[in-house]
Amino acid sequence: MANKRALSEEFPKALSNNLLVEEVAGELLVFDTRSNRAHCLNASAAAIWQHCDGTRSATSLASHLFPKLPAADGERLVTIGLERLRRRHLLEDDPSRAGVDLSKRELLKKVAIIATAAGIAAPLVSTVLAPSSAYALSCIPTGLMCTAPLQCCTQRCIDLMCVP
Amino acid sequence: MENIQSATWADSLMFTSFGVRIGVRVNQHALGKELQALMPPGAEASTSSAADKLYSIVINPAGEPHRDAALSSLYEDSQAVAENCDPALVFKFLETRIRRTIAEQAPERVFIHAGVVEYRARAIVIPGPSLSGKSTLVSELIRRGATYYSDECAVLDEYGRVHPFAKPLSLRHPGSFDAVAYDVEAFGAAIGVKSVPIGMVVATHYCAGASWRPRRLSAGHGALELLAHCIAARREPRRVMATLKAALANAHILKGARGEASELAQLLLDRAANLSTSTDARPAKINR
Repeated sequence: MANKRALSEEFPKALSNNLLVEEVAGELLVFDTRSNRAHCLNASAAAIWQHCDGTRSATSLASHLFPKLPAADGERLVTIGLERLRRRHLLEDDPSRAGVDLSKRELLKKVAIIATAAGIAAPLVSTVLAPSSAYALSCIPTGLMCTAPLQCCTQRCIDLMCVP
Repeated sequence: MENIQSATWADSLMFTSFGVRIGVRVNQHALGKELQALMPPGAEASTSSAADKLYSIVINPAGEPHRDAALSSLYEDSQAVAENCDPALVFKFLETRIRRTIAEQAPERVFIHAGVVEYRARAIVIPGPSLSGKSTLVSELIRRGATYYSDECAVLDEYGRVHPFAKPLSLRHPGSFDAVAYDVEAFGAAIGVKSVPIGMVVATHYCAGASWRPRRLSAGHGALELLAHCIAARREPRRVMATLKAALANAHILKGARGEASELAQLLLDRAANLSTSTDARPAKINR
């Protein structure tokens, strides 16, 4: 089995196909037309994403975006940012890369401390699913009680419950 | 049983709302009042024969074999969307369906599922799904002097200003989905007539016993909160995003669970009053 490459050895590239982008007060709103998901990239995540041109490594991104931070700290910030972007399918997929375990509290805590100390926000990507029109106006959501199908967003009421 | 092909139309209604032409026809006379009630706020009757969406209600009379009550079916263009249902329920369903069609297809407006009031010349927008307590909070806000805009939709123009969509206020009794419609005047409130910019977005839901301890959100995260309840988000994401950007340019965005609406309403109005007289600090930007 081939060894996975470390993040510092990869050259991440931002996806652009099927994505609509709007800058909103220093953050980026990104809409994925394939998945109907909208993402908000805070300033740090946006800066990382916008510089992922396939020619820069995480190390290079860190030194470019966070020049005042110690190299290792900057790289930690970028690594977390890249992983968050990747999980939202905002980077081109590289199957040979090594993933980062975002469940590791210590790492996240360290990143938060680094970012706070440097006066910048840790890279954050928030996501919502755009609603289908059926769910976007008054109707009973799935799982709640109903007395007739027409009350349900799905128009399916079985055993007094709206069902998918 | 009659169907859409064999039906003879006894009454019809054409109207335009936010640039969307809607037609409704029914195979029984004496339903004029019910038809008129289908027109959403601000709609204008039209003499045009062309409709962007045509709804047909086919009511089968009571007394047919094995039936002791009238049943009706509803068609959207040629597609059946409800069959053999209580006519009253069909009219109620159609009312919502028409609003949904307008919200989806309005060419120059973006509709957000939200309650809206105006206070000190700025809108307070409360996005949220059904049963999250929007109407209850709106009712408490208008009791305290806010102007009513809607308990269902924030209608945004390209500049992000909010327009009234003042349907009767629908309040539900605890444990029931059936809403009772109230005239806003019963709350001693006025109905908005002109567009206003958004002053505050309040993303909240009722949680018994909760204290109001909101987080302040950035404009980008506020845009996500609105987009999650935007009817045309999938259909026209580019236009929706541009509109939300304009709408939130000077908005104060709060998110958190709330307890009783009566307790929160005055806090929101006080905050809105303060905002209208103070300059809002923005978070620092990262250098790029």
